[in-house]
Amino acid sequence: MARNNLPRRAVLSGIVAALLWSGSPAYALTKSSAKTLINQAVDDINAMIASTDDEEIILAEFEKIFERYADVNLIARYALGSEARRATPRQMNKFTRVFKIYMARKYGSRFREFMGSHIVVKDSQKIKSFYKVTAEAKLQNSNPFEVEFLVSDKSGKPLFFNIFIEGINMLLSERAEIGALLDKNGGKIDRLITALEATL
Amino acid sequence: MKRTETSFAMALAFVLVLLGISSPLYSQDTNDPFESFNRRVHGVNIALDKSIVRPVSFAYVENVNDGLRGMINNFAENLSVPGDILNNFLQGEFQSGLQNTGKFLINSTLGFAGLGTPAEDLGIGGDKSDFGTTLHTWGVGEGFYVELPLFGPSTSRDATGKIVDWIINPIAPLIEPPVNYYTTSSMIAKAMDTRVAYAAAFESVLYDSIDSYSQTKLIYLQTRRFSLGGHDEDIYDELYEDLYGTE
Repeated sequence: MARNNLPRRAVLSGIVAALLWSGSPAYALTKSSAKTLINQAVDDINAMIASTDDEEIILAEFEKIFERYADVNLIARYALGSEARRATPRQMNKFTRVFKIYMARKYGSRFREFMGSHIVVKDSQKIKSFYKVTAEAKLQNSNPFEVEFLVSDKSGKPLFFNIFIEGINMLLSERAEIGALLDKNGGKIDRLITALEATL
Repeated sequence: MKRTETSFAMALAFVLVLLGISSPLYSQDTNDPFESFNRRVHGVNIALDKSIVRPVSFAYVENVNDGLRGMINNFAENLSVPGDILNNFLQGEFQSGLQNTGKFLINSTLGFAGLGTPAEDLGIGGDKSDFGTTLHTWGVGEGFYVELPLFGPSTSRDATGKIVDWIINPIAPLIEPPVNYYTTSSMIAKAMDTRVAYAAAFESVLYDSIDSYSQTKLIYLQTRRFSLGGHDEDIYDELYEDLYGTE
């Protein structure tokens, strides 16, 4: 019995170690793990584009991808700008939930136009405490363009917090959009949330 | 008459460049002192797109076959190459300038006045350019943002560039009526083709955004800075600190 226990324990601890390793890339955000994260996200997007052309499925799928790979809380907070500091936790929660769907719908339908196209991850580069992962989107009838993902593990696990498409900063665009909607609604967060929900 | 127009344009260009010199080369911010006026122009441009540009462009693409449109695009594109060459040389980009010279000579002759593009098949050609880019390489900042009627988003520097490109266009003096009628038409046709080819992108910005003026401005300034190589690392740092705070 005792003799049998040793290899079994070794196997078990091996499995535990493997689980810990695969489940916690957070402890090692490196050039390659940042690239791996974006590769997985891109694989999911490519698979989604190839699998169906049902708009509702694509948008639901895109929402899941966004949730899995992006620092959604942070992106929502940034989009709300200085107003985020004045929001109550309840308002922030509600806003983040609606904002997530808004983002998934907006960018999901942009990606839908890329039907038959392909995104290839190229390189990853460290910039201070985060990583920049460069990818190329190859379209059918036009020149390829550059997409950059910024990846950080500040949230506890590696997630991307911004995308640049040919130099266009997603966060900046969304802060402008949400800011404009906030202005239209007299600077009231609750009214902003209702208005954003109405656009979905 | 032509002379007074030219000197007026030159004077305007000079003033605009002076305004541009005082502005920083790279910045994440947008400088838009004439926003309320620009917004009015934006409204006019949207109305023009809805009533004329969009419907006419779609009618053009639907009624003229791909092959012919391709040739018209090539013809218009070829006419812009002498301007590229001039700007390549003004920027010291001699390699591009020579490549573009070869491209222009080949496409204008073997390509039947630029209707075909044999140079591209041979891998000959340099960078496209404009006088706004030349001013940038000479150290002129982008200046302030401006939305031009019909031409859309620009900056004081790039609008100046457009005027200067028009004045210094090396082939303009060689083209007399009625040939210039064809050259101008081909450029309009090419613009219509672009409007349709990128219809989804145009429309998501112009018609689906909450504030289409701001989105147009942001997208123009960022893509322009990106193509001029102004996408520097400071932008990333500022952004990261803004999001996660400093270490």
